[in-house]
Amino acid sequence: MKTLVLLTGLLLFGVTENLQAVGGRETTSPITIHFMTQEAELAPRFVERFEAANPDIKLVRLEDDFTRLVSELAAGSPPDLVRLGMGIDVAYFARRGLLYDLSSFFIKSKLIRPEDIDLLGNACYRYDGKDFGKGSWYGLCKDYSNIGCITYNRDHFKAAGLTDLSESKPIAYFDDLFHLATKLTRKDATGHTLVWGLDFPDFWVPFLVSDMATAEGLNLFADEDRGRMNEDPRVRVLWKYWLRFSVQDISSNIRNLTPDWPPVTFQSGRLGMVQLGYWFGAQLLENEGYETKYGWAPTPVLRSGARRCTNNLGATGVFIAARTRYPPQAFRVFEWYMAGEIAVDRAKTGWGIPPLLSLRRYLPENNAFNASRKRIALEDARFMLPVQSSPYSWGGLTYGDWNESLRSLVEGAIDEDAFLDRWFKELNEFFKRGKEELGG
Amino acid sequence: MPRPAGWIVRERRLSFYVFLAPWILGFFTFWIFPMLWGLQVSLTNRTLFMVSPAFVGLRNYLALVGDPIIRYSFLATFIYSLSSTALSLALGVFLALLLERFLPGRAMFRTLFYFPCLIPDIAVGWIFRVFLERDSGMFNALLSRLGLIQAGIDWLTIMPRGSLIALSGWQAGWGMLILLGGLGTIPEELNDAARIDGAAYPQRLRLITLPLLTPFILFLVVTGFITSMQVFLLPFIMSPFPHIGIYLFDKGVPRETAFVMSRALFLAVRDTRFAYGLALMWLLFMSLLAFTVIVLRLSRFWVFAEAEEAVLRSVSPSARRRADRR
Repeated sequence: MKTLVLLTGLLLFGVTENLQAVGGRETTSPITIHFMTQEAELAPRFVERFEAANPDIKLVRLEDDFTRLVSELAAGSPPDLVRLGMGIDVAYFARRGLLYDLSSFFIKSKLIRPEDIDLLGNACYRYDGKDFGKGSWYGLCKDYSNIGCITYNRDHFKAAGLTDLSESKPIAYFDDLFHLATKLTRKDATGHTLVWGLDFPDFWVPFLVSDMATAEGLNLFADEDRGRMNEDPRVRVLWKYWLRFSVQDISSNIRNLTPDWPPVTFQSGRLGMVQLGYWFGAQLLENEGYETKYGWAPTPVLRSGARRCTNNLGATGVFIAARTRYPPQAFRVFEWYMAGEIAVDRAKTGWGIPPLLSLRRYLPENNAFNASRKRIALEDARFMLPVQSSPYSWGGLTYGDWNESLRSLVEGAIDEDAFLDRWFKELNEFFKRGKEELGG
Repeated sequence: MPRPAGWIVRERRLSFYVFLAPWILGFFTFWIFPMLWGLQVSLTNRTLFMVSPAFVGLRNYLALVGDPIIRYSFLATFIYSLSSTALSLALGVFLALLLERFLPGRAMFRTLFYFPCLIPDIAVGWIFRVFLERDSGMFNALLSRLGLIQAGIDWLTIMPRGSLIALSGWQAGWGMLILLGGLGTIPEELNDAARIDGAAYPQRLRLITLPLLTPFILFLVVTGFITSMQVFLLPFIMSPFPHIGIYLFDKGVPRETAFVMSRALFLAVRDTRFAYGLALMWLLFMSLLAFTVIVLRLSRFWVFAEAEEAVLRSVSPSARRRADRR
């Protein structure tokens, strides 16, 4: 009898819970919305203010943990809102039905107006199953940067006998950048690099190559479906361009590693140039004399006179999981995060170009340094294009093996073509598995 | 009225199981069940987000055996495990023999040598990383001061596995502790008799001490090797690449320290090859099982059986009974 009572109780509890979930109906107790993101991007004081203004929602921040996210997505119990490192992964997740289509919410929203959305900056958060910038909205970026833009150290330029770069006329990758970086590189008598000419995070390379290919009217993929890498010699030339920086010790490599990742190495004065983007300016504010010490230049063009284009890695943003139990409440958090008080505060810090055009006025321009980087970023933003990426792999998928192959190249075990053959083969295998996953 | 003896026995049995139940429950829920689930998944083609995985039998296992990257990873892990186990064991034996003697400050040294074992791996890894750093590391500064090198050497890059093996000496205190216990079980009469017969210390060490320590050495070899084969965190901490979240995930570790556990993580999560990654974990588990069985079988040729019995007697009543029957 006791067992029967217990089972009935449990059954009733389960049914009630499910009814609430299915109907998303109003309840008297607050609904808990889980938001997986970093504390720096969702400070407790903002959570408190949100909860005070929205007593029916309890907002709980979960630590940003990629492994946990993947496990929870696979298990069907993800957080309601999730920070996405790179917007290009929207294609990967959307094709697997893991993202909530926010289009209907966008139409009704009073805070996020369609005409106010920065369409170029947010392009990767809109996807029609094939192309970015079309179809359904799956989120928005929290802010973004022009990743190809150059920040340089004026002292190193002066020491190398180079003049400052133009803030309005982009230099060219093939004609200028490699040459400048070579001149800026300095080594000691034993061959150890003291100053690297140029550096960038390794995983930037496919994004920079994507810009170059787009400028040349080329496709990184051999097929419409983006399931096979393009072996066209004109495309291979673009990849090889970046390999040379490592082989010639102009950039960090396994033989001559920088002491830290590029932003920090630049801040410590051991890099001539970095390609990081607008956000890096906010980090440089920590450095003494930043106003005069560092200069800014727009994203280079492929060759002199070539078409300008840049990207933002798809931008760091937020999506709502398809399996959320409370879509309207999750969207209220999303709306507030993208257009509310916290969004204004974020824009004022100058860590990225905001997702809404109306928020751009808050970007700091209180001194020449901030004004310069803002001017260059907003100009670059006019040429922002979605990255050429495959829906069959996610952004972080391939670079471990890129790194291992790069080591073989730097050590002279293989040449550039062998590097590309190996890497393309690995990528094609990834894509094949990605297709199988989708039942293709 | 006195209770019947059978009742007491029953109650003791019941309380034994009741007290043990939380552990048994946890063991089955968090160890046995996930392991069996992993085995079942490893026999499918499941990727992280696959909707309807299919049974593929031993395909993943066969692919793993034929995968040169995985074979290299096993080899790298094996070399590391063998070297680190040997190094920490040799140091442990040396320290135990040193501290067994009546040296001044012996108790303090025992504590000091064991102390590093109390420091978590993550801290040990960082200490060594900073110690071996090219530009500001103490090791290069020392070599430079001694005039042995002209410019800083990037040890983590040129010797990633060697650096990790060197680090394993840090854990020698654990072996020392076990072996000191072992030394305590050696009857003093044996050494006295040997002394009377004119045996010098090296002879006594070779003919008495080391043979009688073999059961303890066997224990340290088996547990040390199993632990080393499963090392996961240290290669990441000691990776020469910058430690920035996504960077570490993307760049991973150099091939020499891309051990089986980190390969499994990359395969299962980064590459979304869930079943393949789990198959690798099972392959590792089975290899360790096979290794343990082989080492235990071979132990009859080098482990001093009488001493083994003495150890068994001291730790297990049933073993004591078995030994008595013999």
